[in-house]
Amino acid sequence: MGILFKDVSYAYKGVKDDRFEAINGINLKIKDGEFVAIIGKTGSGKSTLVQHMNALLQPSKGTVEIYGNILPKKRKQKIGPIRKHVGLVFQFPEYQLFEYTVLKDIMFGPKNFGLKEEEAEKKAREAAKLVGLGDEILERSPFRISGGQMRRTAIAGILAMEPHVLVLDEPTRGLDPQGAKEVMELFNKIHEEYNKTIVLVSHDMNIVSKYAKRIIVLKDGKIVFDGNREELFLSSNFKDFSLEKPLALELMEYLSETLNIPFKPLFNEEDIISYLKELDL
Amino acid sequence: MAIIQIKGLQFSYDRKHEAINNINLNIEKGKWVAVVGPNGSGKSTLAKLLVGLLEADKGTIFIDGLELNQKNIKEIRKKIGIVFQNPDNQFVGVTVRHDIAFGLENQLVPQPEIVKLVNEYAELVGMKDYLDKEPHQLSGGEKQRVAIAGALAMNQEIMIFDEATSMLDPEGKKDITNFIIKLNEEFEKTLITITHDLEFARKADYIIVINEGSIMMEGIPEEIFSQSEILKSIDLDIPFSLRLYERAKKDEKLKDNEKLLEVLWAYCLKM
Repeated sequence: MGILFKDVSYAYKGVKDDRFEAINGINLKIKDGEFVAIIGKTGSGKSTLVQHMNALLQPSKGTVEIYGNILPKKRKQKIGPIRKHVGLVFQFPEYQLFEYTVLKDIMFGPKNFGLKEEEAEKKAREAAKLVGLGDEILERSPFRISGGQMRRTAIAGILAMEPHVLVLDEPTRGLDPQGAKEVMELFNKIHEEYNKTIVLVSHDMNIVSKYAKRIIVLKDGKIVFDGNREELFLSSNFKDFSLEKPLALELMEYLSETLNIPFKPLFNEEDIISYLKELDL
Repeated sequence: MAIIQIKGLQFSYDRKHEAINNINLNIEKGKWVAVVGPNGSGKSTLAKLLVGLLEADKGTIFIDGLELNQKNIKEIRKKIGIVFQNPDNQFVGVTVRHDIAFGLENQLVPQPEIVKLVNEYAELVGMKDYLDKEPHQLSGGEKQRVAIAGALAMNQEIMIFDEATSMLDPEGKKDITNFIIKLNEEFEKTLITITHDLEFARKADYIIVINEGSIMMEGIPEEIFSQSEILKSIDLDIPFSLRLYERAKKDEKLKDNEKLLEVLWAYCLKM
């Protein structure tokens, strides 16, 4: 089970029949329980690609299969059941809050999928607990809580629908470093403890290299790299991807030059410290 | 004489707790000062007080020798400009051209002069081909460039950037960061950058750490970084290189390796 793209292209249609292919000939398989990052420059097709994953867009060519459901090409077919598998967290999700209370906002999704009031409330309370929103917050207006709490509310709203897959579009954009770290730790916990599949769209190479086990690079609507972080940063094509290097990797390069030690792709403090100790400088 | 002189500044939003509590600060002309602090520390409040968007309860602010008050505010706004965090909230023109011209029109600059200045500064920030574009056709970074062009066109000597890159993608962020540095180095503007980001703040001449409305610590980046315990105690995210330096310094096996520590410390200050 999982998500399967076969030769998928999507063209946006402009005026006078001009077409712009945002993604082109994508073949991709994401299995249950993976943590995948999709990266690439602005305009490389990342958002278009992930919007297929919960049927917000449907392919112009090729097929998308989501947990056994072939993405219907006709709009009249029901896509609700497909959406239940994949929850999409947009950029600045707190902009979409609208209910009177935090609890009601989180309940909106599950109710929309047909759950009864009590059942939806139960799911909402569980989701709120998972994202670390205390009971005292739940009865407050979602517009009278802090920015970090608003974002957590929006995320809880998605989790309450119990999707298998969470697609996160730039989840840390606009947060301060502390807030960004908290949000990413939260997603990592959801991934590890609840075994959810995570598809992360991000520009932040520090975050991508820290959390993602598999990295997919898009360029001009095509997949140009698919592998783990070590392979990515050591790839001879790395320069062509116009990506930033994570801070840890830059530091390793600097150390290897100035101290004349062998370069090793490392991505966090612990690993760098143990490497330096091993070397017996 | 310092171009900005702040004495005994006091401000409260609710008359209960002080958002700004007895701040004293002098900033020399042409210097770049980074103001850092956690959420709710009063950083942005200070910026708003400096440009007269808020009025102090107590204390004085002198900008280029002029006291900030009702009488002088118009004169002072010609000297000090601000670029805010959210690029969408400060784009007032229908097009890039109108947005850059907005401040000049308010200052009653003659029309031919405005046309000349708009072209000149649009070119300078690399937005000359975008003059007739509307805000929805621009990226966040491009909008921030337009804001900078507008401020430059007014020829303000002091520029404040209040988290001006935090909503941008890495490309936009890099672009605007480089521009901010250029404003200081090439155009010799006095800069105040307000940020959470110590990676960015370490490029400044001087750092001021604010917490709970007061100045907690101030100094050149080297002095600030050597007291990282204090930065951590107020939940500031210290730079990656500094974290690594500190771990090495505490590690039994690495702490006596002077060469390694020296190299790491140099990296902390350099990057």
